[in-house]
Amino acid sequence: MSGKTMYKNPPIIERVIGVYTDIKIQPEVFEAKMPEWIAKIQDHYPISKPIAEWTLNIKEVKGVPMLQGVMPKAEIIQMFWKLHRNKQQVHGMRLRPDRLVFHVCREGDIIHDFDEIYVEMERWIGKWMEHFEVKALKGVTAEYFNRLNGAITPQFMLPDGGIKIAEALVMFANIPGKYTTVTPPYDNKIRLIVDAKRPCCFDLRVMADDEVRSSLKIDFIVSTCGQEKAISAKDALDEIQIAHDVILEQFDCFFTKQAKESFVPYGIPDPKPSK
Amino acid sequence: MEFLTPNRPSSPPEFNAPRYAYVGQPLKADKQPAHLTEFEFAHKVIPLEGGQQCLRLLKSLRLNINEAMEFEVQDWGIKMDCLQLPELPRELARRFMFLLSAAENEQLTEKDQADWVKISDYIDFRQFSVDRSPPRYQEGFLQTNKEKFIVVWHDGTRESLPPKAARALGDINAGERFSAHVKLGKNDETIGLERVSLLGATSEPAMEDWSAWPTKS
Repeated sequence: MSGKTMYKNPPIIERVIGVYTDIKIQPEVFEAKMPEWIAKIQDHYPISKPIAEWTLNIKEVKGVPMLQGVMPKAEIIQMFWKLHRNKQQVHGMRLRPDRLVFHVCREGDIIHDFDEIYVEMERWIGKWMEHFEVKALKGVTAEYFNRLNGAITPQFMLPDGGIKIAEALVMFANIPGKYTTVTPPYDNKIRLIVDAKRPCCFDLRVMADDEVRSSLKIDFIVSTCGQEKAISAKDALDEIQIAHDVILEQFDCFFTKQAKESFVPYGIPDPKPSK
Repeated sequence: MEFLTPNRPSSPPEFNAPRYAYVGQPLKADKQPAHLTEFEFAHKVIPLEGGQQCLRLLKSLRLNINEAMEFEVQDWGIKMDCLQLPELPRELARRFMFLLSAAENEQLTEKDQADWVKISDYIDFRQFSVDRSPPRYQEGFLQTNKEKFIVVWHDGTRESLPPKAARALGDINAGERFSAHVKLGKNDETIGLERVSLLGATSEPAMEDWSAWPTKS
Protein backbone atom coordinates (compact mmCIF):
# COMPACT_ATOMS: atom_id res chain seq x y z
CA MET A 1 0.00 0.00 0.00
CA SER A 2 1.55 3.30 -1.09
CA GLY A 3 -0.35 5.76 1.12
CA LYS A 4 -1.96 7.39 -1.95
CA THR A 5 -5.72 7.79 -2.32
CA MET A 6 -7.40 4.63 -3.55
CA TYR A 7 -10.84 4.53 -5.15
CA LYS A 8 -13.65 2.03 -5.08
CA ASN A 9 -14.98 2.83 -8.57
CA PRO A 10 -12.19 4.24 -10.72
CA PRO A 11 -12.78 4.18 -14.49
CA ILE A 12 -9.97 1.68 -15.01
CA ILE A 13 -10.47 -1.17 -17.46
CA GLU A 14 -7.01 -2.73 -17.51
CA ARG A 15 -3.71 -2.62 -15.63
CA VAL A 16 -0.51 -3.79 -17.26
CA ILE A 17 2.95 -4.07 -15.76
CA GLY A 18 6.05 -5.19 -17.62
CA VAL A 19 9.76 -5.71 -17.16
CA TYR A 20 12.24 -5.32 -20.03
CA THR A 21 15.51 -7.13 -20.67
CA ASP A 22 18.65 -5.03 -21.07
CA ILE A 23 19.70 -7.29 -23.94
CA LYS A 24 16.97 -8.80 -26.07
CA ILE A 25 16.80 -12.58 -25.80
CA GLN A 26 17.93 -14.07 -29.09
CA PRO A 27 14.70 -14.88 -30.95
CA GLU A 28 15.86 -18.44 -31.61
CA VAL A 29 16.70 -19.00 -27.96
CA PHE A 30 13.38 -17.46 -26.96
CA GLU A 31 11.41 -19.70 -29.30
CA ALA A 32 13.38 -22.83 -28.47
CA LYS A 33 12.80 -22.30 -24.73
CA MET A 34 9.16 -21.34 -25.07
CA PRO A 35 7.66 -24.88 -25.03
CA GLU A 36 9.39 -25.63 -21.72
CA TRP A 37 8.16 -22.31 -20.31
CA ILE A 38 4.62 -23.15 -21.37
CA ALA A 39 4.94 -26.41 -19.45
CA LYS A 40 6.16 -24.48 -16.38
CA ILE A 41 3.24 -22.04 -16.34
CA GLN A 42 0.65 -24.61 -17.41
CA ASP A 43 -0.93 -24.99 -13.98
CA HIS A 44 -1.32 -21.23 -13.52
CA TYR A 45 -1.84 -19.91 -17.07
CA PRO A 46 -3.33 -22.85 -18.96
CA ILE A 47 -5.02 -20.91 -21.76
CA SER A 48 -2.76 -20.01 -24.65
CA LYS A 49 -4.15 -17.30 -26.92
CA PRO A 50 -1.32 -16.06 -29.11
CA ILE A 51 -1.82 -12.71 -30.81
CA ALA A 52 -0.94 -11.96 -34.44
CA GLU A 53 0.97 -8.75 -34.98
CA TRP A 54 1.56 -7.29 -38.44
CA THR A 55 4.15 -4.52 -38.31
CA LEU A 56 4.89 -1.86 -40.92
CA ASN A 57 8.06 0.15 -40.62
CA ILE A 58 7.12 3.80 -40.90
CA LYS A 59 9.50 6.68 -40.26
CA GLU A 60 8.60 10.34 -40.13
CA VAL A 61 10.61 12.37 -42.62
CA LYS A 62 10.00 16.13 -42.38
CA GLY A 63 6.58 15.49 -40.93
CA VAL A 64 5.59 13.00 -43.61
CA PRO A 65 5.18 9.33 -42.68
CA MET A 66 7.32 7.24 -45.05
CA LEU A 67 7.33 3.48 -45.41
CA GLN A 68 10.77 2.04 -44.87
CA GLY A 69 12.50 -0.34 -47.22
CA VAL A 70 12.72 -3.05 -44.57
CA MET A 71 10.19 -5.77 -45.17
CA PRO A 72 7.09 -5.60 -42.95
CA LYS A 73 6.98 -8.30 -40.30
CA ALA A 74 4.35 -10.76 -39.18
CA GLU A 75 4.86 -11.93 -35.63
CA ILE A 76 3.09 -14.15 -33.12
CA ILE A 77 3.02 -12.76 -29.60
CA GLN A 78 2.73 -15.32 -26.82
CA MET A 79 -0.19 -14.59 -24.53
CA PHE A 80 -1.51 -16.78 -21.73
CA TRP A 81 -4.56 -16.46 -19.51
CA LYS A 82 -5.66 -17.88 -16.22
CA LEU A 83 -8.81 -19.94 -16.07
CA HIS A 84 -11.91 -17.88 -15.30
CA ARG A 85 -15.27 -19.10 -14.08
CA ASN A 86 -17.04 -17.23 -16.95
CA LYS A 87 -14.32 -17.96 -19.50
CA GLN A 88 -13.30 -14.30 -19.53
CA GLN A 89 -9.76 -13.09 -20.07
CA VAL A 90 -8.91 -11.34 -16.83
CA HIS A 91 -5.42 -12.31 -15.67
CA GLY A 92 -2.91 -12.58 -18.49
CA MET A 93 0.79 -13.09 -19.08
CA ARG A 94 2.44 -11.83 -22.27
CA LEU A 95 5.93 -12.68 -23.43
CA ARG A 96 8.21 -11.28 -26.08
CA PRO A 97 11.94 -11.70 -26.55
CA ASP A 98 12.50 -8.46 -24.64
CA ARG A 99 9.83 -8.46 -21.96
CA LEU A 100 7.56 -10.17 -19.47
CA VAL A 101 4.19 -8.48 -19.04
CA PHE A 102 1.18 -9.11 -16.81
CA HIS A 103 -2.36 -7.91 -17.42
CA VAL A 104 -5.40 -7.69 -15.22
CA CYS A 105 -8.65 -6.60 -16.84
CA ARG A 106 -11.83 -5.25 -15.36
CA GLU A 107 -14.82 -7.61 -15.34
CA GLY A 108 -18.01 -5.64 -14.98
CA ASP A 109 -18.02 -3.92 -11.60
CA ILE A 110 -14.99 -5.84 -10.38
CA ILE A 111 -12.07 -3.53 -11.03
CA HIS A 112 -9.38 -5.73 -9.51
CA ASP A 113 -6.23 -4.35 -7.99
CA PHE A 114 -2.58 -3.53 -8.63
CA ASP A 115 -1.53 -6.04 -5.98
CA GLU A 116 -2.96 -8.88 -8.06
CA ILE A 117 -0.52 -8.33 -10.91
CA TYR A 118 2.33 -7.29 -8.64
CA VAL A 119 2.11 -10.66 -6.89
CA GLU A 120 2.20 -12.40 -10.27
CA MET A 121 5.27 -10.46 -11.31
CA GLU A 122 6.90 -11.25 -7.98
CA ARG A 123 6.18 -14.95 -8.47
CA TRP A 124 7.38 -15.26 -12.06
CA ILE A 125 10.11 -12.68 -12.69
CA GLY A 126 12.89 -14.79 -11.18
CA LYS A 127 11.76 -17.98 -12.91
CA TRP A 128 11.45 -16.11 -16.22
CA MET A 129 14.95 -14.61 -15.91
CA GLU A 130 16.43 -17.98 -15.04
CA HIS A 131 14.58 -19.86 -17.75
CA PHE A 132 15.37 -17.44 -20.58
CA GLU A 133 18.84 -16.67 -19.17
CA VAL A 134 18.10 -12.97 -18.68
CA LYS A 135 21.01 -11.43 -16.78
CA ALA A 136 19.68 -7.92 -16.16
CA LEU A 137 16.76 -5.62 -16.88
CA LYS A 138 16.63 -2.15 -18.34
CA GLY A 139 13.47 -1.01 -16.59
CA VAL A 140 9.76 -1.45 -16.14
CA THR A 141 6.48 -0.04 -17.39
CA ALA A 142 3.09 0.36 -15.78
CA GLU A 143 0.16 1.08 -18.07
CA TYR A 144 -3.31 1.84 -16.71
CA PHE A 145 -6.14 2.13 -19.23
CA ASN A 146 -9.28 4.05 -18.28
CA ARG A 147 -12.55 4.73 -20.10
CA LEU A 148 -15.21 7.36 -19.68
CA ASN A 149 -18.42 6.03 -21.17
CA GLY A 150 -21.99 5.13 -20.33
CA ALA A 151 -21.15 1.70 -18.94
CA ILE A 152 -18.25 2.68 -16.70
CA THR A 153 -18.89 6.32 -15.75
CA PRO A 154 -22.59 7.08 -16.26
CA GLN A 155 -22.16 10.11 -13.98
CA PHE A 156 -20.46 11.98 -16.84
CA MET A 157 -22.92 11.10 -19.59
CA LEU A 158 -25.47 13.45 -21.15
CA PRO A 159 -28.82 12.16 -22.42
CA ASP A 160 -27.70 12.72 -26.04
CA GLY A 161 -24.63 10.50 -25.55
CA GLY A 162 -22.22 13.35 -24.94
CA ILE A 163 -19.58 13.16 -22.23
CA LYS A 164 -19.13 15.95 -19.68
CA ILE A 165 -15.43 15.92 -20.34
CA ALA A 166 -14.60 19.18 -18.53
CA GLU A 167 -16.20 17.84 -15.37
CA ALA A 168 -13.96 14.80 -15.47
CA LEU A 169 -10.56 15.97 -16.63
CA VAL A 170 -8.69 19.05 -15.49
CA MET A 171 -7.01 19.54 -18.86
CA PHE A 172 -10.38 20.08 -20.57
CA ALA A 173 -11.68 22.51 -17.95
CA ASN A 174 -10.33 25.72 -19.47
CA ILE A 175 -10.03 25.36 -23.22
CA PRO A 176 -9.75 28.94 -24.47
CA GLY A 177 -11.79 30.49 -27.30
CA LYS A 178 -15.41 30.63 -28.26
CA TYR A 179 -17.17 27.31 -28.83
CA THR A 180 -20.22 25.37 -27.79
CA THR A 181 -18.78 21.92 -27.32
CA VAL A 182 -15.74 19.72 -27.91
CA THR A 183 -16.09 16.97 -30.47
CA PRO A 184 -13.88 14.21 -31.88
CA PRO A 185 -11.36 13.97 -33.34
CA TYR A 186 -9.21 14.71 -30.36
CA ASP A 187 -6.00 13.02 -29.44
CA ASN A 188 -3.90 14.51 -26.70
CA LYS A 189 -0.54 13.19 -25.60
CA ILE A 190 1.78 14.58 -23.02
CA ARG A 191 4.97 13.28 -21.48
CA LEU A 192 6.24 14.38 -18.12
CA ILE A 193 9.74 13.60 -16.96
CA VAL A 194 9.20 12.60 -13.37
CA ASP A 195 12.81 11.67 -12.64
CA ALA A 196 15.49 12.28 -15.26
CA LYS A 197 18.11 10.31 -13.35
CA ARG A 198 16.32 7.00 -12.95
CA PRO A 199 14.83 7.77 -15.64
CA CYS A 200 11.08 7.83 -15.06
CA CYS A 201 8.63 9.24 -17.59
CA PHE A 202 4.90 9.60 -17.32
CA ASP A 203 2.78 9.62 -20.47
CA LEU A 204 -0.86 10.65 -20.58
CA ARG A 205 -2.98 10.01 -23.65
CA VAL A 206 -6.55 11.15 -23.98
CA MET A 207 -8.34 10.25 -27.16
CA ALA A 208 -11.71 9.31 -28.56
CA ASP A 209 -12.39 5.58 -28.55
CA ASP A 210 -12.92 4.62 -32.19
CA GLU A 211 -14.37 1.28 -31.20
CA VAL A 212 -17.25 2.57 -29.08
CA ARG A 213 -19.53 5.57 -29.61
CA SER A 214 -19.36 8.19 -26.86
CA SER A 215 -16.34 6.76 -25.18
CA LEU A 216 -13.09 8.38 -24.15
CA LYS A 217 -9.78 6.60 -23.61
CA ILE A 218 -7.52 7.89 -20.87
CA ASP A 219 -4.23 6.05 -20.65
CA PHE A 220 -1.61 6.52 -17.96
CA ILE A 221 1.80 5.06 -18.77
CA VAL A 222 4.95 5.13 -16.68
CA SER A 223 8.27 3.90 -18.01
CA THR A 224 11.59 3.61 -16.22
CA CYS A 225 13.49 2.07 -19.13
CA GLY A 226 16.92 3.50 -19.81
CA GLN A 227 19.53 2.76 -22.44
CA GLU A 228 22.50 2.14 -20.15
CA LYS A 229 20.50 0.59 -17.35
CA ALA A 230 20.98 -2.91 -15.91
CA ILE A 231 18.93 -3.69 -12.82
CA SER A 232 18.06 -6.83 -10.89
CA ALA A 233 14.66 -8.46 -10.44
CA LYS A 234 14.39 -6.95 -6.97
CA ASP A 235 15.16 -3.46 -8.30
CA ALA A 236 12.57 -3.99 -11.01
CA LEU A 237 9.93 -4.92 -8.45
CA ASP A 238 10.78 -1.73 -6.53
CA GLU A 239 10.46 0.28 -9.72
CA ILE A 240 7.06 -1.25 -10.46
CA GLN A 241 5.92 -0.02 -7.05
CA ILE A 242 7.33 3.43 -7.86
CA ALA A 243 5.59 3.44 -11.25
CA HIS A 244 2.31 2.51 -9.58
CA ASP A 245 2.72 5.37 -7.10
CA VAL A 246 3.43 7.82 -9.93
CA ILE A 247 0.23 6.76 -11.67
CA LEU A 248 -1.78 7.24 -8.47
CA GLU A 249 -0.29 10.72 -8.05
CA GLN A 250 -1.02 11.69 -11.63
CA PHE A 251 -4.50 10.23 -11.42
CA ASP A 252 -5.07 12.61 -8.52
CA CYS A 253 -3.76 15.53 -10.59
CA PHE A 254 -5.50 14.97 -13.91
CA PHE A 255 -9.00 14.08 -12.71
CA THR A 256 -11.16 16.84 -11.28
CA LYS A 257 -12.19 16.92 -7.63
CA GLN A 258 -15.76 16.20 -8.70
CA ALA A 259 -14.63 13.19 -10.72
CA LYS A 260 -12.57 11.79 -7.90
CA GLU A 261 -15.46 12.11 -5.50
CA SER A 262 -17.62 10.19 -7.94
CA PHE A 263 -15.00 7.42 -8.02
CA VAL A 264 -15.53 7.08 -4.25
CA PRO A 265 -12.25 7.30 -2.33
CA TYR A 266 -11.79 4.64 0.33
CA GLY A 267 -12.91 5.95 3.71
CA ILE A 268 -15.77 7.97 2.22
CA PRO A 269 -19.26 6.44 2.00
CA ASP A 270 -20.39 5.35 -1.46
CA PRO A 271 -23.14 7.76 -2.67
CA LYS A 272 -24.54 5.03 -4.92
CA PRO A 273 -26.51 2.24 -3.28
CA SER A 274 -24.45 -0.90 -3.43
CA LYS A 275 -25.69 -3.64 -5.75
CA MET B 1 7.35 25.42 -13.53
CA GLU B 2 5.78 24.04 -16.70
CA PHE B 3 8.10 24.04 -19.68
CA LEU B 4 8.73 22.01 -22.76
CA THR B 5 12.04 20.25 -22.96
CA PRO B 6 13.64 18.71 -26.03
CA ASN B 7 15.32 16.09 -23.86
CA ARG B 8 14.09 12.58 -24.35
CA PRO B 9 15.73 10.42 -21.73
CA SER B 10 14.12 7.27 -23.02
CA SER B 11 11.58 6.16 -25.52
CA PRO B 12 8.71 4.31 -23.95
CA PRO B 13 8.60 0.66 -24.93
CA GLU B 14 5.95 -0.50 -27.28
CA PHE B 15 2.49 -0.06 -25.97
CA ASN B 16 1.21 -3.34 -24.52
CA ALA B 17 -2.50 -2.79 -24.88
CA PRO B 18 -4.35 -4.11 -27.90
CA ARG B 19 -4.00 -1.65 -30.75
CA TYR B 20 -6.27 -0.95 -33.64
CA ALA B 21 -5.56 0.77 -36.92
CA TYR B 22 -8.23 3.24 -37.91
CA VAL B 23 -8.51 4.09 -41.58
CA GLY B 24 -10.90 6.99 -41.94
CA GLN B 25 -10.29 7.76 -45.62
CA PRO B 26 -9.74 5.43 -48.55
CA LEU B 27 -6.14 5.41 -49.71
CA LYS B 28 -5.55 7.25 -52.97
CA ALA B 29 -3.42 5.00 -55.11
CA ASP B 30 -3.80 3.26 -58.45
CA LYS B 31 -2.12 0.12 -57.21
CA GLN B 32 -1.49 -1.41 -53.85
CA PRO B 33 2.23 -1.06 -53.09
CA ALA B 34 3.87 -4.45 -53.46
CA HIS B 35 5.81 -4.18 -50.22
CA LEU B 36 2.59 -3.99 -48.25
CA THR B 37 1.44 -7.34 -49.57
CA GLU B 38 4.59 -9.21 -48.61
CA PHE B 39 5.48 -9.80 -44.97
CA GLU B 40 8.40 -11.59 -43.39
CA PHE B 41 7.46 -14.18 -40.79
CA ALA B 42 9.50 -13.19 -37.74
CA HIS B 43 9.89 -16.72 -36.33
CA LYS B 44 12.62 -19.13 -37.38
CA VAL B 45 12.09 -21.91 -34.85
CA ILE B 46 9.02 -24.06 -35.40
CA PRO B 47 8.12 -26.36 -32.50
CA LEU B 48 7.48 -30.02 -33.29
CA GLU B 49 5.98 -32.70 -31.07
CA GLY B 50 4.69 -30.18 -28.55
CA GLY B 51 8.04 -28.44 -28.36
CA GLN B 52 10.09 -31.56 -27.64
CA GLN B 53 11.86 -30.89 -30.92
CA CYS B 54 12.23 -27.87 -33.15
CA LEU B 55 12.47 -27.21 -36.83
CA ARG B 56 15.05 -24.50 -37.38
CA LEU B 57 14.72 -22.40 -40.51
CA LEU B 58 17.81 -21.13 -42.28
CA LYS B 59 15.96 -18.24 -43.90
CA SER B 60 12.81 -16.29 -43.17
CA LEU B 61 9.47 -17.26 -44.59
CA ARG B 62 7.65 -14.83 -46.86
CA LEU B 63 3.92 -14.37 -46.50
CA ASN B 64 2.15 -13.02 -49.57
CA ILE B 65 -1.21 -11.44 -48.79
CA ASN B 66 -4.04 -11.26 -51.30
CA GLU B 67 -7.06 -8.94 -51.42
CA ALA B 68 -9.21 -11.46 -49.55
CA MET B 69 -6.86 -11.00 -46.56
CA GLU B 70 -5.41 -14.46 -46.93
CA PHE B 71 -1.71 -15.13 -46.93
CA GLU B 72 0.24 -17.74 -48.80
CA VAL B 73 3.55 -18.97 -47.48
CA GLN B 74 5.96 -18.71 -50.36
CA ASP B 75 7.36 -22.11 -51.44
CA TRP B 76 5.46 -24.03 -48.78
CA GLY B 77 2.06 -24.42 -50.43
CA ILE B 78 0.21 -23.18 -47.34
CA LYS B 79 -2.65 -20.68 -47.59
CA MET B 80 -4.47 -19.28 -44.54
CA ASP B 81 -6.67 -16.42 -43.42
CA CYS B 82 -4.65 -13.57 -41.91
CA LEU B 83 -6.57 -13.92 -38.66
CA GLN B 84 -5.20 -17.44 -38.33
CA LEU B 85 -1.55 -16.40 -38.24
CA PRO B 86 -1.03 -17.90 -34.73
CA GLU B 87 -1.87 -21.30 -36.27
CA LEU B 88 0.88 -21.00 -38.87
CA PRO B 89 3.67 -22.78 -36.89
CA ARG B 90 1.41 -25.80 -36.51
CA GLU B 91 0.59 -25.81 -40.23
CA LEU B 92 4.28 -25.52 -41.10
CA ALA B 93 5.09 -28.45 -38.80
CA ARG B 94 2.31 -30.53 -40.33
CA ARG B 95 3.39 -29.71 -43.90
CA PHE B 96 6.99 -30.57 -43.10
CA MET B 97 6.16 -33.83 -41.33
CA PHE B 98 3.82 -34.88 -44.13
CA LEU B 99 6.43 -34.25 -46.82
CA LEU B 100 9.21 -35.84 -44.76
CA SER B 101 7.17 -38.96 -44.26
CA ALA B 102 6.15 -39.08 -47.92
CA ALA B 103 9.77 -38.58 -48.98
CA GLU B 104 10.99 -41.34 -46.67
CA ASN B 105 8.34 -43.69 -48.07
CA GLU B 106 8.89 -42.52 -51.65
CA GLN B 107 5.27 -41.45 -51.92
CA LEU B 108 5.73 -37.84 -52.99
CA THR B 109 3.45 -36.64 -55.77
CA GLU B 110 4.94 -34.46 -58.48
CA LYS B 111 3.70 -31.28 -56.80
CA ASP B 112 4.79 -32.42 -53.36
CA GLN B 113 8.20 -33.26 -54.73
CA ALA B 114 8.55 -29.75 -56.15
CA ASP B 115 7.45 -28.29 -52.79
CA TRP B 116 9.80 -30.60 -50.88
CA VAL B 117 12.77 -29.43 -52.93
CA LYS B 118 11.91 -25.80 -52.23
CA ILE B 119 11.15 -26.41 -48.55
CA SER B 120 14.44 -28.26 -48.12
CA ASP B 121 16.26 -24.98 -48.76
CA TYR B 122 14.67 -23.52 -45.64
CA ILE B 123 15.42 -26.33 -43.20
CA ASP B 124 18.55 -26.80 -41.12
CA PHE B 125 18.60 -30.54 -41.77
CA ARG B 126 21.83 -31.14 -39.92
CA GLN B 127 20.36 -29.72 -36.72
CA PHE B 128 17.10 -31.54 -37.37
CA SER B 129 18.91 -34.89 -37.70
CA VAL B 130 20.82 -34.24 -34.48
CA ASP B 131 17.64 -33.26 -32.62
CA ARG B 132 15.78 -36.27 -33.93
CA SER B 133 18.43 -38.92 -33.34
CA PRO B 134 17.82 -41.02 -30.22
CA PRO B 135 20.42 -41.12 -27.39
CA ARG B 136 23.10 -43.83 -27.81
CA TYR B 137 24.17 -46.30 -25.18
CA GLN B 138 27.74 -45.68 -24.11
CA GLU B 139 30.03 -46.67 -21.28
CA GLY B 140 32.67 -44.49 -19.77
CA PHE B 141 34.87 -43.71 -16.84
CA LEU B 142 34.55 -40.50 -14.80
CA GLN B 143 38.11 -39.27 -14.58
CA THR B 144 37.43 -36.16 -12.49
CA ASN B 145 34.46 -34.25 -11.10
CA LYS B 146 36.28 -31.39 -9.39
CA GLU B 147 36.22 -28.21 -11.47
CA LYS B 148 35.25 -29.98 -14.64
CA PHE B 149 33.56 -33.27 -15.35
CA ILE B 150 35.97 -35.18 -17.57
CA VAL B 151 34.93 -38.54 -18.94
CA VAL B 152 36.95 -41.16 -20.79
CA TRP B 153 34.56 -42.93 -23.14
CA HIS B 154 34.72 -46.57 -24.12
CA ASP B 155 36.68 -45.79 -27.29
CA GLY B 156 39.36 -43.96 -25.33
CA THR B 157 38.23 -40.43 -26.22
CA ARG B 158 38.33 -37.90 -23.38
CA GLU B 159 35.61 -35.33 -23.10
CA SER B 160 34.90 -32.42 -20.79
CA LEU B 161 31.13 -32.38 -20.29
CA PRO B 162 29.06 -29.19 -20.38
CA PRO B 163 27.46 -28.38 -16.97
CA LYS B 164 23.96 -29.34 -18.10
CA ALA B 165 25.08 -32.83 -19.17
CA ALA B 166 27.44 -33.20 -16.22
CA ARG B 167 24.59 -32.82 -13.71
CA ALA B 168 23.45 -36.33 -14.63
CA LEU B 169 26.74 -37.72 -13.27
CA GLY B 170 26.25 -36.15 -9.83
CA ASP B 171 25.93 -39.58 -8.21
CA ILE B 172 29.06 -41.01 -9.81
CA ASN B 173 32.36 -40.70 -7.98
CA ALA B 174 35.56 -39.82 -9.73
CA GLY B 175 37.26 -43.00 -10.82
CA GLU B 176 34.03 -44.98 -11.29
CA ARG B 177 32.70 -46.55 -14.45
CA PHE B 178 29.19 -45.88 -15.65
CA SER B 179 26.87 -46.43 -18.56
CA ALA B 180 24.42 -43.93 -19.95
CA HIS B 181 22.31 -43.07 -22.94
CA VAL B 182 24.12 -40.15 -24.52
CA LYS B 183 22.55 -37.45 -26.66
CA LEU B 184 25.10 -36.07 -29.10
CA GLY B 185 25.22 -32.60 -30.63
CA LYS B 186 26.16 -31.30 -34.06
CA ASN B 187 29.86 -32.09 -33.67
CA ASP B 188 29.36 -35.36 -31.85
CA GLU B 189 29.84 -33.63 -28.51
CA THR B 190 27.78 -34.82 -25.55
CA ILE B 191 24.86 -32.51 -24.89
CA GLY B 192 22.86 -34.72 -22.53
CA LEU B 193 23.01 -37.91 -20.49
CA GLU B 194 20.14 -40.01 -19.25
CA ARG B 195 19.51 -43.45 -17.72
CA VAL B 196 22.89 -43.39 -15.97
CA SER B 197 23.96 -46.65 -14.32
CA LEU B 198 26.90 -47.31 -12.06
CA LEU B 199 29.12 -50.09 -13.39
CA GLY B 200 31.18 -50.12 -10.25
CA ALA B 201 34.77 -51.06 -10.80
CA THR B 202 36.96 -48.23 -9.59
CA SER B 203 39.73 -48.57 -12.07
CA GLU B 204 40.68 -46.81 -15.26
CA PRO B 205 39.69 -48.97 -18.20
CA ALA B 206 42.47 -50.70 -20.01
CA MET B 207 42.33 -49.68 -23.64
CA GLU B 208 42.46 -53.24 -24.89
CA ASP B 209 39.13 -53.98 -23.16
CA TRP B 210 37.44 -51.46 -25.42
CA SER B 211 39.04 -52.29 -28.72
CA ALA B 212 36.02 -54.23 -29.96
CA TRP B 213 33.65 -51.30 -29.39
CA PRO B 214 32.66 -48.99 -32.20
CA THR B 215 34.07 -45.48 -32.01
CA LYS B 216 31.77 -42.50 -31.44
CA SER B 217 32.16 -40.98 -34.88
